[in-house]
Amino acid sequence: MSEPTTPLDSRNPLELAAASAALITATTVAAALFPAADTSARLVVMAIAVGGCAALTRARTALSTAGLGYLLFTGFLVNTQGELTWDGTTSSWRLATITTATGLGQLCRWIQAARIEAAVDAELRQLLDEAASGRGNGHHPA
Amino acid sequence: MLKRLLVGRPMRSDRLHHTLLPKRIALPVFASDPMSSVAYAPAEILLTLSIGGLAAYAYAPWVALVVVLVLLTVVASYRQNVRAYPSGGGDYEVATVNLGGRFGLVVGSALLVDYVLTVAVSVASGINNLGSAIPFVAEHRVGLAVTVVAILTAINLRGVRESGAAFAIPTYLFITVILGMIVWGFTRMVVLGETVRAESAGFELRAEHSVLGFAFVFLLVRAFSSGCAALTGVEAIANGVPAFKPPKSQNAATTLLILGVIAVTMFMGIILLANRTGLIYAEDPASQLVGAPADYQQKTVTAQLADAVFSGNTVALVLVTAVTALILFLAANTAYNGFPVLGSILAQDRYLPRQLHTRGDRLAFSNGIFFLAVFATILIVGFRASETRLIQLYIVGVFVSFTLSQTGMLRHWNRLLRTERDPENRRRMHRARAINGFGAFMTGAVLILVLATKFTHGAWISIAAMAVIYLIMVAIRRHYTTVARELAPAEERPVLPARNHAVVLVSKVHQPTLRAVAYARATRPDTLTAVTVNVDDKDTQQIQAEWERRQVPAPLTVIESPYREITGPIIDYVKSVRRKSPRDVVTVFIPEYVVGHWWENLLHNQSALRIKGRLLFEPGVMVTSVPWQLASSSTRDLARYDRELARGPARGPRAHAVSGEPQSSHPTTTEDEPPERR
Repeated sequence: MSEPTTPLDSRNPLELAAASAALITATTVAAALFPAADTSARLVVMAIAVGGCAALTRARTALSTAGLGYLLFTGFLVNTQGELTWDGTTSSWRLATITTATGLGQLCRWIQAARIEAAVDAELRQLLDEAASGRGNGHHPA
Repeated sequence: MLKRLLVGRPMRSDRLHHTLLPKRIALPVFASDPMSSVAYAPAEILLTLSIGGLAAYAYAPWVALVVVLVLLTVVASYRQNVRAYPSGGGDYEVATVNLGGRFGLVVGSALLVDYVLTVAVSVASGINNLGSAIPFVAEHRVGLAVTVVAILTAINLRGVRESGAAFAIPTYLFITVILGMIVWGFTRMVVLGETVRAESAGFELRAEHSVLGFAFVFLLVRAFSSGCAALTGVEAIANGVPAFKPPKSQNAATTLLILGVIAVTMFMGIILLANRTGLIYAEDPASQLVGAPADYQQKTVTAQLADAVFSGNTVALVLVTAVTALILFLAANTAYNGFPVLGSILAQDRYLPRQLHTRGDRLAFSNGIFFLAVFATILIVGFRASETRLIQLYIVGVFVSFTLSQTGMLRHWNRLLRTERDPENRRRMHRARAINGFGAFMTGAVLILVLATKFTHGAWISIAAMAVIYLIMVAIRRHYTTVARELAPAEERPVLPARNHAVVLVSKVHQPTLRAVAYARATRPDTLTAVTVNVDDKDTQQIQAEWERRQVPAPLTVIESPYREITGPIIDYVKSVRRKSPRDVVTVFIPEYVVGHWWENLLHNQSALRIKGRLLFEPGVMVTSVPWQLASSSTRDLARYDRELARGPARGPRAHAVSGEPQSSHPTTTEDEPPERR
């Protein structure tokens, strides 16, 4: 029987699409839940969405998502109908918030990946130890 | 029944050639978009200039003249495209072949975005025009715009020719009405010497900002880039060449020329008429129009002109606004024709999911049509059906594809000129190259201006959408390539398995189980085992007793399941068989009920489906379903089921069945010799 010899590329081609859809949904939810004047609350919703996307996607997708998140936030949650503006310090803080959320999301992803890797390593070490002790006792491993 | 009413009966592939369009039908189908642009492009120029006050209006004809120059350049350039590339890839194919796959994909992304925007802008503008005559429409424009999108979607799902024929009359009516209005307006003013004044002519226009020096030049440039909305849709003909009747390229080129002449005449006519009647069209009427009544509702430019030219005749006003709305809805229809074709081509090239390549009922690429409708609806709702806001997003993608397409054509002619020796052909190629070169320069310059003036006003949304679509398509292509590489057969002969172990899953001793055992024996496996999971001791004992009483010719193995779970123990059992003999295969026979109603599936087969789905992940394990038709299955309308299954897969627009002619993959033609004849 011929078995798969190369692992399939596990990167999801629709990762970016899903992240974009999530951000558009977050924009809609933020606009519906909070009045236009309450940009801080809206920013929190967008930051959570961006951070969540970053925690679930690769670095490149997370970066694209952060950019898109900032544009959607400024175009639809600060202004209306996609109008972009730059208010100096205020805009800088908003951009920093979204960037930080992205960084935190990626950090969570790295920690999770490291924990999984450590668990796999531990399991592998245990198997190797069992195999070694089996040989030492003169038994063949099952 | 409902679907049949909305979508119509399925169409046989061999009847597809009947959907090919003659020029008189192709013109309204493909050219309604650029022609309909005269309903909003002149208005957008005036609207933008209104920011600078009344003085800026004096420049409107000059701005329009530059737009006309670009429009004529683009039409002339695309006449070269349709002759050189008759297979309907349009800008996408031209860019892919001449500039490479990545540029082709940029064009593909841009066109997909613009088709969606064509629907959104056209429908929003159509509703806006209707709102000029009917206040109810203006009050409920978002809901009505969404309704129009839904109606267009249903019409297009019925098939391209039916919709083309149905829309031909309104298009010609629009041309007649608008040209009639322009001619009658100028006749009254120039020949009869009458004074024709628009209703807004007496108002004073207050500038939004003080625009002087560079700011004024920037305003003119912004007005020009808004006016370039008049060029949108020209590429639809280049993308739709396969839908034309033979000789396809020639007919497409002629249709392009006709549309260019008509569009320019109407566009300039409206601008000049607006200029002569003193029409004022403000971005913010409430604050900018001084002297207007308190309850003044600003009508669209065409509505104001109709009102002035026909001296307030209500019938004429309603006719103009209704016909203008209709042509705008037809422009949306252009996108319905182009988007699914382009989506199908991209799917054929593995940049989009293969489902988009499948032609659905009525051979109208139903999947693509649904995508288009959904995204257009999102835009309409998101922008509250505001055509002015939507237009800010509109033009970028068009000019990206124009520029790359024309640059690609330059390389096309350069490549051909390297090998062509015939002086006559070389002369034609030089001329075509000069036209495309000028087109590339003009459209590239416009693209830069559009980006500079509209990026922060909403154009970024189109760019972001294009970027996302581009990256998604690259990822989809990469995925398909990886899978194809993995599935490619090796050169060596496949190794036969040493032995085949058959495992029959038993939940009860009933007819489906006995049939599965009988079938498993008929396959002559090396070993045969019936397996049941002990979830309940009493049930298991009954199964064992019945198994022995019937003397079923296969040993029954009982697997213990302390946590009353079924899937896990079976998987473990199959794995253990595989582990003992890694070079053998295990065939698992699963009895399955065939049911007549969808709800019966909820009551049966759920465990079987779970086990089957899990076993498919085990290497060296084959899963065989042994069907047992329940009595209810005889009630199933199999003829209808067959019809549903027969819908796909079908070939895309570049297949021979569509054009009825062999596909030309090496375009090498010049203007006078269409490739179909070579």
